[in-house]
Amino acid sequence: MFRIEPKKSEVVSFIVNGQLKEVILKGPNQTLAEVLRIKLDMTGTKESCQCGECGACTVLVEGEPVLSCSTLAIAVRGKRITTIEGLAEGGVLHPIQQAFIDSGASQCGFCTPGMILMAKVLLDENPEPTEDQIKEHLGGNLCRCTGYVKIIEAVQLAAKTMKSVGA
Amino acid sequence: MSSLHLKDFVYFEPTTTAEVTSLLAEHGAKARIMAGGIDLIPRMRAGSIKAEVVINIQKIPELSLFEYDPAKGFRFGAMVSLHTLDTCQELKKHFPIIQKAINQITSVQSKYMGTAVGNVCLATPASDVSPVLMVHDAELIIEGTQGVRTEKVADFYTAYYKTTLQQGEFVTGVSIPKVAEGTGAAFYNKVRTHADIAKITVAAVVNVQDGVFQDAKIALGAVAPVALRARSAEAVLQGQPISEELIQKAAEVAMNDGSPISDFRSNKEYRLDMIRVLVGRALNKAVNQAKGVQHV
Amino acid sequence: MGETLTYVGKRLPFLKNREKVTGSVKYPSDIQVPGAHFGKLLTSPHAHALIKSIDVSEAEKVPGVVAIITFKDIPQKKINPAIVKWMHHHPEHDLEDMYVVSEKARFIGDIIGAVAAIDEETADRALGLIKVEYEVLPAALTTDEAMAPGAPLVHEEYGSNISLKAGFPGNRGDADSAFLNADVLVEAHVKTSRQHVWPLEPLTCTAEFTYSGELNVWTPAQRPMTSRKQIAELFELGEASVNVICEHAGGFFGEANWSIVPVCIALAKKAAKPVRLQYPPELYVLATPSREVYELSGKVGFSKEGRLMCGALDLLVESGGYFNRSSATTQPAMGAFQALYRLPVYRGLMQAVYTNTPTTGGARGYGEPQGVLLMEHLFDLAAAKLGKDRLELRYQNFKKMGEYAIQLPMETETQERVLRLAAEKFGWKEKEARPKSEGNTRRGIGVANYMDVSGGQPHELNDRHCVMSLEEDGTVTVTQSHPDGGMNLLGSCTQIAAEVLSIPFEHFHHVHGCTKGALNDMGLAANSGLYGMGNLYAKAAAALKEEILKVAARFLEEAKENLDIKDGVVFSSQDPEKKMTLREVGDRSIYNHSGGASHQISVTTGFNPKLNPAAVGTAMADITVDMETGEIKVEKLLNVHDIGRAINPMGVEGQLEGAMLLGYGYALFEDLAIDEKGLVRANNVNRYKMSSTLDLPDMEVVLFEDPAPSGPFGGKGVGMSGVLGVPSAIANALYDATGIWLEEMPYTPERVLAAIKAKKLES
Ligand SMILES: Cc1cc2nc3c(=O)[nH]c(=O)nc-3n(C[C@H](O)[C@H](O)[C@H](O)COP(=O)(O)OP(=O)(O)OC[C@H]3O[C@@H](n4cnc5c(N)ncnc54)[C@H](O)[C@@H]3O)c2cc1C
Ligand code: FES
Ligand code: FES
Repeated sequence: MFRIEPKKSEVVSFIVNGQLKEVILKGPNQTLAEVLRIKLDMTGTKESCQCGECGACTVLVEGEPVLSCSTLAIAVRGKRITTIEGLAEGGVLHPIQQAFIDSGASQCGFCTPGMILMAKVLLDENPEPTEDQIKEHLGGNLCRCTGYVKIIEAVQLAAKTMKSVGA
Repeated sequence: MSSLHLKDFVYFEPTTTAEVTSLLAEHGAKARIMAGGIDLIPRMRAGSIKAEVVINIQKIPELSLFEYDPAKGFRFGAMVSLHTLDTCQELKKHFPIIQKAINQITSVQSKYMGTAVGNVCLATPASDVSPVLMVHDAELIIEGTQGVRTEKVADFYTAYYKTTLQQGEFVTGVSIPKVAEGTGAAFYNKVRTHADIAKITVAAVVNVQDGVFQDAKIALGAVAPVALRARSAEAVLQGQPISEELIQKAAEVAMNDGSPISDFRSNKEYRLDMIRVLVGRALNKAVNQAKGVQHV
Repeated sequence: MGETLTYVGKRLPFLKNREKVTGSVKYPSDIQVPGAHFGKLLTSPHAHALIKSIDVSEAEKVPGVVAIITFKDIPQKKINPAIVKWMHHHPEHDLEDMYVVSEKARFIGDIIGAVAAIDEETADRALGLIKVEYEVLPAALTTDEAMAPGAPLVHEEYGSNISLKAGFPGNRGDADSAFLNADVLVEAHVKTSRQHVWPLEPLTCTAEFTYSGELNVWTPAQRPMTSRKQIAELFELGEASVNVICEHAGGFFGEANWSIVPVCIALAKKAAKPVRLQYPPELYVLATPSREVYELSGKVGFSKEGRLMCGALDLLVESGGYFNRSSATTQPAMGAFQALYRLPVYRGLMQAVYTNTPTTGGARGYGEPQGVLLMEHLFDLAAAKLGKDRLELRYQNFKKMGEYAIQLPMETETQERVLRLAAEKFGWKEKEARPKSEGNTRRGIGVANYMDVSGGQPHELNDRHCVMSLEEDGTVTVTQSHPDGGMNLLGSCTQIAAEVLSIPFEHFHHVHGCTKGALNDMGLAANSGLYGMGNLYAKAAAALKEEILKVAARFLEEAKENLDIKDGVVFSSQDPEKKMTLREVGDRSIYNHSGGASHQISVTTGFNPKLNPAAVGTAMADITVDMETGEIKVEKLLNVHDIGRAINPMGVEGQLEGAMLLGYGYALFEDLAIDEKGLVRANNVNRYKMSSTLDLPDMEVVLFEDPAPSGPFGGKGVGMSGVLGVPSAIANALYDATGIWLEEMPYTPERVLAAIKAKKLES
């Protein structure tokens, strides 16, 4: 049976945004958020409430949205992880990122990475969501700046552009 | 003391239920099961749970199984996510209030991670899931070093955050019996904001035959130290002809089944009032639905 | 002028948004300085206690601990963490009553020590070994308790828990006789709640002394220059040796309290090592101030024709443990009460009271929503008594051009047009004609007008400076200290500068977000961003244009008067041959090989605001009330705002939408919930609820534009404005639906239902 003792070094790997990353965990008590933000210096993933309520720490694990503040890194070793840093390809923004810019959906930007990743999960499975579906889907991502109006507009805009480019 | 980082613990990743029970038997109260971890990890960080041993049950394949059998009902394992249940068409069709209760709790992310069994095992009085399972007479499948036993969800809670689980035991799944003809169900809760834990939850399942309450089950959340069945209100209805007065009487009586307190989410008076209002609304809705079902 | 604008008024992308949507922006909480030690706070578990002794000897022995500080290790100088004194013309009102680390526990969560160690585990172990001997004192947990005779004193030195009594601003006339002469008198009372604006970014501070004795501080500082000032004064450093760094912050909604900063610096100083300190979520709301908490009692008198004759406002400020902005926010609160309507006779009194609860004061809106709440309700009460239409009574009493907004003359008169537009967009008449009750529910609509500011004048020193330079590639770099907190202020200012200079918007670079190398700037306060910074950019751009044309005149051998810039090209209006690109101008003036000195075209500009155009608006709410459950459902919220000129309409809408949702939560559910022991129960976002998309009401924003003569391209303030009217419109809609006026916020179903029962109302 797999086990790790406290403070014991364990080399684990993840495929982060398509790249193999190896990190040394010191014991099992590090969250995925800590590994991404501190060990891998990928601070695009944010951490705010640390209790599952704000969604700022959202990343995708095997394409599914996960709160990295409440996920033990050890439990997702070997998995494919997508963070906000992995969305733009070759300097070209993902249509959702572009839509957030065009709609003014990002003010301070602290909620933006989580919002965009959630929008991606939604649009990947439902290319033409209704306004209510968008609201339901983003219900776990708090934003204190925008009042959400422009975030919802951005998702609608992204749905449109993604449809027209056939993405 | 609350922390930014998790304290030390030993981590296990069993692949069979037998390994889980023997770990639990060995480590006793120092050990905690981790299903989705969405409740456990934040609580460990905040210091309200101290776990020296964490047993991750995510790698036990059989715990992720679920099935609907028209003859028996619905069964699902301890690692079936809230998301899977939320999007399961059979659950929605046959047990709509269970799907509804699950649908409206927490966020999409937490639904992908968290489990319904985790919600039940958390043993919070404010669970939205336990009341809907209780009114559907659901049973927990519990495995221990001594073997497997079952327990009704309605009998699972013994006191505030306490269950009948013994050292070495854990819940491997839930079984919900199929629903009889002429059954209607309703679920209501009250929250400060959508993502909040409920200040009160009410679930009701009634079976109506020839204008009479053949069976009525009512369960309440967040109005007592544990989620519970409103037995005295149920007794008012049992075998009686349906009328608005009877429903109102049961709703009044249900206030005695709860013993709410005041906290930062609500207060005692309001919770008592809402038992009455929501039990009344739930019964009316369930009855209408049961009648509708009968006519089909 | 009729000239068309190229950049101003356009929905251009917000500055640095490409960085934000890719997660590449760095916030202070993202900074990991190599070798930084982990700082952790020791806070009081008691609401009120003397600290008889603190023994850190065992804790100091823990390997890996690099510093422990208690009261005796910090500068023995009291401060006010709100750092407002440098910009107030009456700094004596901003009481300095707080030590960086407390000598006495004044509320649960008061900082009484701190540890820096190699990691959190070590810090925890050390904290556990600090022996504190408390003498628990009786606590004053409410203003009533605090003002009762013999109440325990939160700060003994004042001899009373009432720290300040003042009548500002602008008492006038004989209120007593005016009230006697009024035909109709109405009164109302309300106690406002503890909203916490709770930005998403966790509050961190990283402090590092360099080997040459300079200090670097990374923290979300809304006003870095005044932070620098206080750090320098407190730690006896030269201002220029302190570098406060904050390029971006995860939300500014009232300055994040500054108290974590000196603690972190004291730790770094004692340890002689860099230290990073972060509030865990559960401590954050204790150590940062909530929205200002008031008890307001207001009274106004009208003539029978409906003329407002006199008004009085008693405002009791619950400061909590420390004074903070107890004075600073009351001016806007009292101003909001008397800004919009002609009020010939006025008497105001504010008192600030200490209690053994977390410190309050200084949230987006800054006292104004509370002042609006009361006055707008008094108008509804008066309209009912006078038998007049609610809107008509307001039209009748709006101030007119030539009158004073608060203490400055009105620059534009738009209140009536704004209210009329709101009524039309909202469908006020049609909605008012609907039946009031339907099944278990009742319906109601409410209105609230407000007059917000565009800066702190005449009370504040809001000066700011920048350096604007032409680069050799023809682009323009602007240097100033201002951080980006999400309001796209730098973006809007760039649109202004681009317009003035006629240089493409994309051709601007910004050096911002640290005090080093920047000129002084009082920072953001009082809705002043666009007005203050926008005017600064306009002024600097005009000056830079002058300089550019001067140099170009030499290069082109053309009279300067004949030259102008269009789309980045200097051209002569007389001779089409005479033109050169800004790149040529910039490059040649620096790499001047034809003799003469190299000269970079650059201007240093300051802006000293003297005016402060009012920014008026109207909020309307349409609600239903479930008479069995007491729940208020907001069906529609509208906010019409006179922005003067929307430099970037997308940005203005975003400011209003975000602020409206904050106002909505303030009205209905946001509250820290302090219990009978003084403990904040809603201490993390799983307990303290804020709106998500699922709670979002139908919100509509309408921009109204009547340019202010003194504003940049006519622009007025907006950042706080959306919070001002919404709570009041909801309260008035509740009153319209049920006749209920709740004297305590927020308007929870519990309170509404209790009132329904008390009034024996039925649906
Ligand atoms: C942000 C948020 C919002 C929420 N909102 C709601 C809400 O509105 N209504 C509501 O009802 N609930 C709510 N919850 C509770 C949520 O439903 C449960 O936390 C979740 O279902 C737990 O699932 P999990 O698999 O992550 O459990 P874990 O966190 O892994 O475990 C929870 C607890 O149960 C124990 N446990 C888990 N599985 C077993 C098992 N098989 N046998 C024995 N013990 C076990 C664990 O040891 C632990 O103590 C919310 C939770 C969060 C984080
Ligand atoms: S930080 Fe993970 S949900 Fe808030
Ligand atoms: S943009 Fe600031 S929190 Fe969403």
